[in-house]
This record gives sequence, structure tokens and C-alpha cells, in this order.
Amino acid sequence: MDDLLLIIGGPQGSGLETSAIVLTRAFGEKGYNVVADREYHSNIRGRHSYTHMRISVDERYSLAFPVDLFVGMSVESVFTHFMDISENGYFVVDTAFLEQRIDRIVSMEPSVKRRLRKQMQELGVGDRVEDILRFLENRGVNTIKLSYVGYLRMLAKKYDISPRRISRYMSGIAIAVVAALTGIDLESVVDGLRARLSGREELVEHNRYLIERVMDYIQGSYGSPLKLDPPKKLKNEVLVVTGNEAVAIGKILGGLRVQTYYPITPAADESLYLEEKMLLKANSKNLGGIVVFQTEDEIAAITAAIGAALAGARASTTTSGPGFSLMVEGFGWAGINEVPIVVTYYQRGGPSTGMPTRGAQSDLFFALYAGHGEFARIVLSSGDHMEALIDAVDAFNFAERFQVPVIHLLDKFIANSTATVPIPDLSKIRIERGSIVEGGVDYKRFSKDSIVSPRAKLGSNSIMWYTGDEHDEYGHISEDPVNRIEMYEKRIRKMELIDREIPDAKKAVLYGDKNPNIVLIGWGYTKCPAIDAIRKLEDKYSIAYLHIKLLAPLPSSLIRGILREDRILIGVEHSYEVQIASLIRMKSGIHIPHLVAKYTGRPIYENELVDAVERIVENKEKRVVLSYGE
Amino acid sequence: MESRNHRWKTDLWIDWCPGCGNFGILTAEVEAFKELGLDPTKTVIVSGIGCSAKIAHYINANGVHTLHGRAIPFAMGIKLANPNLVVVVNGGDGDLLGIGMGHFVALGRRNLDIVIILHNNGVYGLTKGQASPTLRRGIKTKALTKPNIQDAVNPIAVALASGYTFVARSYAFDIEHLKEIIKKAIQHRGSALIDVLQPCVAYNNVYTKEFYEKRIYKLEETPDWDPIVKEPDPEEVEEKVSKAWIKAMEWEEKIPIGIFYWNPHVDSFEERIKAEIPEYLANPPAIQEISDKEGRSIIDLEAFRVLFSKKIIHIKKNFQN
Amino acid sequence: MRCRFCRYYLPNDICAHVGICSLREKIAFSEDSCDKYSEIDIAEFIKKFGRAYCVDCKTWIYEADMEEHRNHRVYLGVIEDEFLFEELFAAD
Repeated sequence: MDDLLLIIGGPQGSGLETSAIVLTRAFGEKGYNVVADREYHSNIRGRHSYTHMRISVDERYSLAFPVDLFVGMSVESVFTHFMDISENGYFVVDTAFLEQRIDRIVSMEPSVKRRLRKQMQELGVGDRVEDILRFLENRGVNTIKLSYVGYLRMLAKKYDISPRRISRYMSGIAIAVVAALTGIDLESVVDGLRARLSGREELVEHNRYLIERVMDYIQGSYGSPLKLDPPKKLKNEVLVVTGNEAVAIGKILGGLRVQTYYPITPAADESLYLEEKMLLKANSKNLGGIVVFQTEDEIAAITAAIGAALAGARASTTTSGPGFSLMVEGFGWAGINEVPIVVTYYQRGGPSTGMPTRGAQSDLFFALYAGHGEFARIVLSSGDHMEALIDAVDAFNFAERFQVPVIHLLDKFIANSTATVPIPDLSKIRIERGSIVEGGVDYKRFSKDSIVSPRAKLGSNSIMWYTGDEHDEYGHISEDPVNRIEMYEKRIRKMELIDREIPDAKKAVLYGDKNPNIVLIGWGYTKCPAIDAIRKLEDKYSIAYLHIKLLAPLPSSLIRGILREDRILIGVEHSYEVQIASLIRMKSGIHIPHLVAKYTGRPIYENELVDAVERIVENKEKRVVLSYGE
Repeated sequence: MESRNHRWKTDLWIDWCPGCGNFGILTAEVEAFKELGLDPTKTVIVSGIGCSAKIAHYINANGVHTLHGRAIPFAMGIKLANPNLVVVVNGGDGDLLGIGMGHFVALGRRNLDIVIILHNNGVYGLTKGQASPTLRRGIKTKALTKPNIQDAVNPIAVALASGYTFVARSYAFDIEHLKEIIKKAIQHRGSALIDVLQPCVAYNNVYTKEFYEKRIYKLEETPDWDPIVKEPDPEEVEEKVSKAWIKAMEWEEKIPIGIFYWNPHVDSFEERIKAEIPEYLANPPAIQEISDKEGRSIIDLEAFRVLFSKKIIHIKKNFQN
Repeated sequence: MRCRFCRYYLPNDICAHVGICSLREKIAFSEDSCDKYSEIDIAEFIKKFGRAYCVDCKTWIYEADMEEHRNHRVYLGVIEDEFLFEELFAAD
């Protein structure tokens, strides 16, 4: 077995995060490639959530259905996911669930309940968990029933466990089941536990005891039928991080010194991680300090970041759609004042409050055009965790080299998922600050001598002015029409300069067949299902994926070379419109006739993208809308 | 930069109305800078939007003319990145107490070392004289078609409630008085508010020069007026805040100017950051080195391994499960 | 006679079969029993404390709701997990 998919489902707050992290680390320690997504409601606790994990012997980026293993930590998860398990897969539940019925689940949305009940009726399945299990068994699924409380009792007999820490032990049961069936040794699990429960040896010891007992039982009764082959290409070490953390690490490498933020999903976790790293101390070396500033609102977040950049610090703010909507006025001020700031923008389901904990890519045009008037900006986006880390450094470099505001566009799929990521090659990372000067007498901050004027920091040996009004070279207000033309052009023509100077590899990358018959086009998280899908289809088709990283300025000439009319062109995006297709049409005239769209807030899965491509190529369908996944 | 011979006003023609109170504020402000011997390259004036905001272009120091209501957060960002700069905010009453009220209060919670000079004229001048948050109910200035139907906020009271540690009021045409208050506010380590009563000749024909000069009296000339908190003692603080509050309510018959409340014992936001980052003041974020001589990140592989050790996993290669 | 019907039993929010015995201040399981057992009287609870918690419906119930929740598992309250905050991402 070289590729394993699993889901652990349960109510929020019950220990799922711990299970996901410990298992990711345990598999990671053995050299496997892991991606673990978290799906959850906009709720603190109680509503259904699940972790969807893929463990493989070589690189995989996306998730897929059906899954080989399901561990249910709640009755709701059983009903929600029973259709997701593969034939011959393993479906694990608590014996206490068996009698429970779907209509008694209060935390399930009524419309979801209706939909599931209808499905169950059509399949001829009764209302109770044990009816579900029987249905699955008839289809070849292996069901396992454990008494979770029985194991807790066993634990309570040996140790004095607190009833206020049940989540710490429930997570252990789920971990044990997965580890046993996949043949992961106890020591790897304990390493993961120790990291997650650091400083709490007592909890580690309790869990070790519990996990060992559950594993003994499972392996004794079922063996390890889901054991993976050894991993290919072993490395020495690997990072295990969420997307938020990957970006934070990139920013720290890139010299971030002031981060402002207002808490919002799915961005806040990046700033919370940075708050732990304010003092950059490694052994006895003092490498500096990052001010992480929680503001009173998003308007203060962007304006304070701009102020910090004016003073010369590498500054950024981190937000999502509703937050960026508030930041737009400030963003425009940064545009007219050529301020190097980075806005890290994690997209979520919109519009308005939308779906706070679900992902989307529907803010592309918003990021490209937000702000009245016209001014130069860079919009770059990342397709996976490794890219996100490196792009975070690039974002600062581009901001300062070209003196423009930069939007680093990401999404919830990357932000909240955990993955094994290679340690970045630090020798390849460079800090490029552009032209920073001391200034001196008669300093002109907006000197027309060059498109990018030498920049002095506030507090250096000069006096300068900034204003949101159109201004002269000193930064004083000017309504002179000749100056207006010169300043306006100076700013906007930076886009041409940026297009010339950014290397192709940072603009767009072609994966797969170099001379393809079919081309998938996308950006951001789409890279993950696209790369996996084209690999799945490479024996059947001559297929490639064009991954666009630089969205503003759009690399039209690069794109034109690849998106030839004689090829089957398919735009893929987590949105209704598939804005990347509209953008390419607008900027280069190329028409992308086929679209794959998904706007449920869940990620595009490898299997549904493969299916969509086949429908388009074989049945000539024009627009395929995907909707799998709860 | 040599500040003794420095000309503190720029050459730009000042386009305020000839009788505007802003001229007084401008003069008092630059005189204060001169007498304190400030370095103009290390001084930053941050303004919002409106007539008052243009002051940033008339003072020959760094000027950041920002967005309506947002001067304070811009100023906070500048100050956080380089706490060794002198940062002064000039803003109008509509700017700072209407659209910008959220930031006005937030600054008090933080006690960042920034001076707020509030140009309080009761109207939105540049947009034709609408009532501002400090115009009282029932007042009908010449530009209003009907008397104002909204009650006013009291900037002194809001500042006291928000945690400002230096709260004062002055008058645009008493340049000596305003200058001295500005000097003290700059020297105070913490958030300072100076509510400057400013006649607007274009639009406010009720709160005029004559109106103010008939009513103004100086707190420092009031016997037993002692606004300074001597000890970090909660009871003394409560007593002095309460007295300041009561003075702040005086308006119709007499209007006090001077220092209402001054507490030098509250730690500033910068000091709170210093507790987290000991070198914060000596080596502020704005000037820290972030790369080595070859242009690589200052975080090398060894430092990377230490900083992110909790996220790094060493792969164990033996495969007998 | 089991804990699940006893007035001293407070179930854990995640798993109602485990909880705390508020009398002994120790972990208890719903199927356990002991001699200090004292049957729950919902009406008395609600009169004294204003409300009670229905584990089956995961909600607080008040005097007017009592009839609707007869035969449900109702307790004085639930105990919340200490480590809740570690299991969450920002959700808004």
C-alpha cells in the first residue's frame, strides 16, 4: 500500500487536533509524506469536525475520497461519513453509539439531517448506527466496535485521571486505532505525544498506557491490514507545520520586524504563532525582536503596518476577506505613497461573513483591484506549504525593491492544514531591500529621477513628507496637471519594471507533460489536487497543469506560450466564476472554454478533479461544478 | 541635524483663512519644538484629514498626512517601529472624535508615548461646516440650516476614561500657554491629549474668539489645583481623575484651560514591549539588521534549528515495525 | 442506583458516560454505583438553581421545559474540558 486516506471525526474540542498532530508527527518521523486537513464549523465546541489525512510513500498534496479508514468519535460523524469509506476499508465506532439514532443528533444542521435521511432511505438503511454498520458490512467494509469508556475505565483503574481532561484520552484512543491498523510502532506515537503534550509527562504516561492497550487489542484481533510500504526518498529531517506556521516561519526568515493584526479566521493563528517568537534568540545569539501588535480593528492594523514600514521596519498585516474589505482605504494610501508593506490575505468563503472556517479562492479580482484609483501593486499566491514559506520572504523583497504594497494571497485550505515540509534551503534565500538611503539635505522622497526613488526611513538624516493627496517630489500636495501625469505614470509604470525583473519561475510553473494536449490552469491551493490529478491521468492523457503564482502583474506572454488554442484548456478554481479564466481572457485575449468550479467551502479532491477532467475531455462538457465532501 | 538654526516652518503658502485658530497652534507647536531643542529629522507630525491636517506640510519636520480618522494608528505604527522618534498627532475634532474615536480610545489603553493635539472647532471646516462631535445640541452655527440635534462628546472626559496619562486643554490664541503645555506633553512619557479650543472664522460664529476670551480661566491660577499624581496610589488616582472630570464639565459660564490630569507613574506601551524584548529601545525594529553581509537572512541554519525546534522532526530510518 | 441517575454526577461534555462525582470530587462512570447514591429530582434542581442541563439535547432547560425533557438525561450541569483551547483553530 503506498497511499492511505483516513478520517477521524468528532465534535470540536474533543481532541481531534491532538490526534491529527500526533499522527502526523508519528508518520512524519518514519519518513512518510503527510497532509492533514481540518474541516470545522464556525463554533468553539460541539459541532461536527473532522481531520482528513493522507499518508503516502512519496509526494502527494491533496486529499481524496473514498477513505481507507474512518474512526468515529461521535454519532454525528458516523452518519456524516458512512458514505465516504471504501470497500474493504475499516470503519471504527464506539459500542456506546450502536443504539443511537440520527434524529437525536442536536448538533447536526436540519438540512443536512434531511439530506442524509433521504439518502439512507433510498439505500434501505435504518436509523441507527448499528443499521449503518450492517449496511457497510454487506458492502465489504470491515467494522470495528470498541468500548471507548471501557478503555477509559481501564485507565482510571491504573491512574488518577481527571474528568476534566477526557479530551486528552479520547484523542489517544483515536491515535491508537490508526497506529495499530497502519502498523506504526508505539515509540513513534509516543514521540509525537511527547512533542504535543510537552511539559506534561503525566499525560504522556497515561496516554502511553492507554494507547498500548488499545493497540494490543486491535493488532491482536485485526493485525495491521493498512500498513504502508516503506517511504521512497528518505530525508534526514522534515518540518511539520500548518500553512499559517509556514508563512510565519517564512516571514521570520525574511526579516519581519512588525506584524499587526486583528483576530480573524483563518489568519489569526499565524499571528498567534509569531507572538511566541517575538524574541528571536537562538542559544546565546540575540537576533532581534519582532513587535506583534494586536490592534483595535483592521483599519488600525493596516495603517499601523504602513506607519511601521515608513519608519523602516519590514512590516506586514494578516487578514481575510472581511478584514481586507476594511483595509482597502489604507491599502490605497500605501499605493499612492509607494509604501513597502505586505498584506497576507487568507481567503475564506464569502461574501460578507460567508463561511468563516471554509476555504475559497473567490477574492482574486478583489485583491487585484481593491482601492479607488489606479496604482501599482503586486499580488502573488502560493500553492502549498513550501511555496507559502518561500513566498513570504519574496513578498517582503518585492515590496521593498519596487516600493509597492504586496498582497500575498493564500486560503484556508493551506492555512489550516498540517503537512510534512522539507527544511528550506537557507543558502538560496536572499534578503533584498532595494535602495535605502540616509537622505540628507533637500531629500526628495518621490524623486522623479527614477521609477523607484531611493527610500529614506523616517528618523534617518532627512526630512520628508507623505500625503494621501497627489504630491510633488518632496511629498507636498500638488494639483499641477503636469506633475500629476509624471507622478501617476511613475507609480503605475512600475508594473512593467516588475514584470521585467521578476524571474519566470516566480511567475508561473508548468507541471506535467511539457508538450501537453490538455492544460489545467489554476493558482493557489488548486495546485495540490491538480498535481495529483495529472499524475493519476498521465498514462491516459498528455496533460499538464499551469500554476500561476504572480497574479499582478499577470505574466501574459508566458501564459500565451502555453495556452495554445489547439490544446484543451481547463480553468480550475474554488469559486463560482473561475476568475483566473476571466483574468486571462481580459489580459491576454486567450479564451479558456472549460471550467471546473467548486464553491462549497471544501477543497477540490483528487478524485473529483480526475472525474471532471474525464467528463470534459470525453463528453465535451463545458462547466463542471464539484460538490463532494462535508 | 543641527536644530538651533533650523527654520521650523516650511516655505509653503499657508492656505488657512486669515483669522483661523490654526495659525496659533502652528506657531505654538514649532516654538515648543524649538525650545525643546528637538531634532527635526527625528520628529514626525502625523495628521488626519481636514484643515488642521495640512499642518504637517507647514512644519519643517517629517510630516505624514494620512486618512480621515486614522492619524492615531499610523502614528502608533511609526512609534512602535522606532520608539526613539518624537511623534505628534494633529487632528480635528471630527477626525479624532467621530470617525477616529475607536483609535482615540485604544491609544489610551496602551499609553504609547504620543502627543495628540486636538484642533477643537466644533465643525467640519473643509467640507462646509457640518456639526462635529464637539458641537453641543441646540447650537446653530451659520452653516447649519437647523440647530444641531446631537449631543456633544467631551474630549477631556473620554481621554480620562480611556487611560490617557496627560490630559490638558489650551486655547489657540494664547500661544505662550499652548506652547508650554505642548512642551510638557512631549516630555511626558505616555499618551497625552491637548484639547485646543480653536475658533473657526469661516463656520463657527458661536464659539468665537470673543466667546472664549470672556470665559477662559487658567487652572494653574486656581488655588489648590493639583492635577499631578504624586504616588502610584489607586486612591490618589481616583481622586484626581474625579476632580479632573468635574472640571471638564464646566462650559457655559467659565471654561478652564490648563492641565486637568497628569499621571507619570503608568508604564508606557514601549516599556511593556521592552519587558518582552529587552533590547527594544536600544535596537528598535526599524533599524535592526535582518541580513548578513552576503545578503542572506540573519537566521542561519543553526538558529533555524533552535527557533523552530518544536516543528522539526528527525526521521528515524530503521524500519522494523 | 447508578451514577447516571444520581444527583451528584456531573457528566463530561465530550462523553456523558464519564464525569465527576461532585460529592467525592473524583472521576465517576455513569454505570458505577455506590452507597451515597441519591436520585436526581429535576424539579427540585430547577427550583433551587433556576436551570438544569439536558445531555441528550445539549441544552439548558428551565421550568417550562421540564415536561418536554422527561426521560432525558438531565443533570445539574456539565464539566467542561480544561484543554479545550488547544483543540481549536480560530473560528470566526
